[in-house]
Amino acid sequence: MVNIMPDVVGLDVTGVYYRYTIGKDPAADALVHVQNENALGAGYIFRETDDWSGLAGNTITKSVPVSNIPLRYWGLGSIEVEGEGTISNASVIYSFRVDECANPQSDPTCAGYEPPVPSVTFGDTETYDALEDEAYAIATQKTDQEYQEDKESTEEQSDDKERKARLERGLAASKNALALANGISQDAIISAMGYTSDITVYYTAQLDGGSYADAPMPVDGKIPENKRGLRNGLAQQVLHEQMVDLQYQ
Amino acid sequence: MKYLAIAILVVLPHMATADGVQIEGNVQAKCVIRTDRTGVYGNPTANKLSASPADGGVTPIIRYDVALAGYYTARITYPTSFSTSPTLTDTVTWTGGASVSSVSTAQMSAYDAAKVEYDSTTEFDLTVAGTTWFKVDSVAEYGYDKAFPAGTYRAVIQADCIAK
Repeated sequence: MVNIMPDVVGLDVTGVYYRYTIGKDPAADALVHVQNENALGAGYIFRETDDWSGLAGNTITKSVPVSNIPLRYWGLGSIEVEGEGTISNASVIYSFRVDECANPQSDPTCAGYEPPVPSVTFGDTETYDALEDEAYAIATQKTDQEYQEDKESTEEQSDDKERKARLERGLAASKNALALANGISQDAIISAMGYTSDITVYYTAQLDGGSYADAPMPVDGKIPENKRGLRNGLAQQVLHEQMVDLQYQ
Repeated sequence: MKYLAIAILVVLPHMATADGVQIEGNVQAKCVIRTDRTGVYGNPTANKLSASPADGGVTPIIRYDVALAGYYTARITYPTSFSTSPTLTDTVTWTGGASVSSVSTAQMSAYDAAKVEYDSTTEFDLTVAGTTWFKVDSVAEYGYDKAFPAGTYRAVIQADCIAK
């Protein structure tokens, strides 16, 4: 249908006008279907049937209004004879209307029209490729070899420095350990010198006489659940599960 | 005077009045006849005028639009005289006929088989609502192999839609 109808947004078919001549034996049965397939589904979007059974052949001219069916639904059209008969001089004309505001942007007077944003145009731009820059070429030529040599010499120097540093740290640690040990031992001596083992006061302590009443026992013999403890236990469980889940993250 | 005025007011409502009430209506045409195509006489031989395409003529087409099925009869009479022609000194023999040319519904194709012909008239019973196109053949032969005088010839087809 797009081949025979203008491909315009908002085009609806409003009617089908067809004409054909059927040649047939008046006694024979014949059904003639003028039809268009449904382009968006199964079956036909339009199908008009003329029953010529028991009638002499003739030319039929018929106008069939349709309810503004959008163009996209109209598929392949055909005239099919079911029975005995031949079709000649067939002509099918489609009438249509166009909703000019189907696309609101097509006309400023249409509802929903939005003024287009003016396009910003730039002049001819040249793409700068840093890798083609002369400075880059110079920089890579000069520095690559030096960098390689520097890197090797730097690695050797850093190894020497590392060995020296480790040696210095080792010596410093041993000195510190000795100094620390000396300080601790002196403190211990001074502390021992000032220590007085007076524990006689603990032996002279006495307990007051009398009787001690029995502690009250649970009336029903049951000890209630400690709700606070239960909540603590649940919190522990949640924490535990969180820790376990951390392993899988 | 005051008393008189009061008496008149009291009496007036009891006076008898009369008026004519009109009813209007408009009947739309349910059968419309149009000329779809005017005919042209061809002159295949000197003594013959024919509207047949085979004779170089154009067959006239008359269109009947019927809104109600079964209420009308189409009566078509082919011409038996010229409405305009040069002076003719001999007799003219007229032949012709009407037939269904095209239909808007397949069932109208049965009109031809059921048509009634008498004299120069053909009647079709319009049993189906819709549009029917009738073609009318008309042939005029002058004298006995006598040539028609030069000039313009016109003839008129009479088409009627008669309510049953």
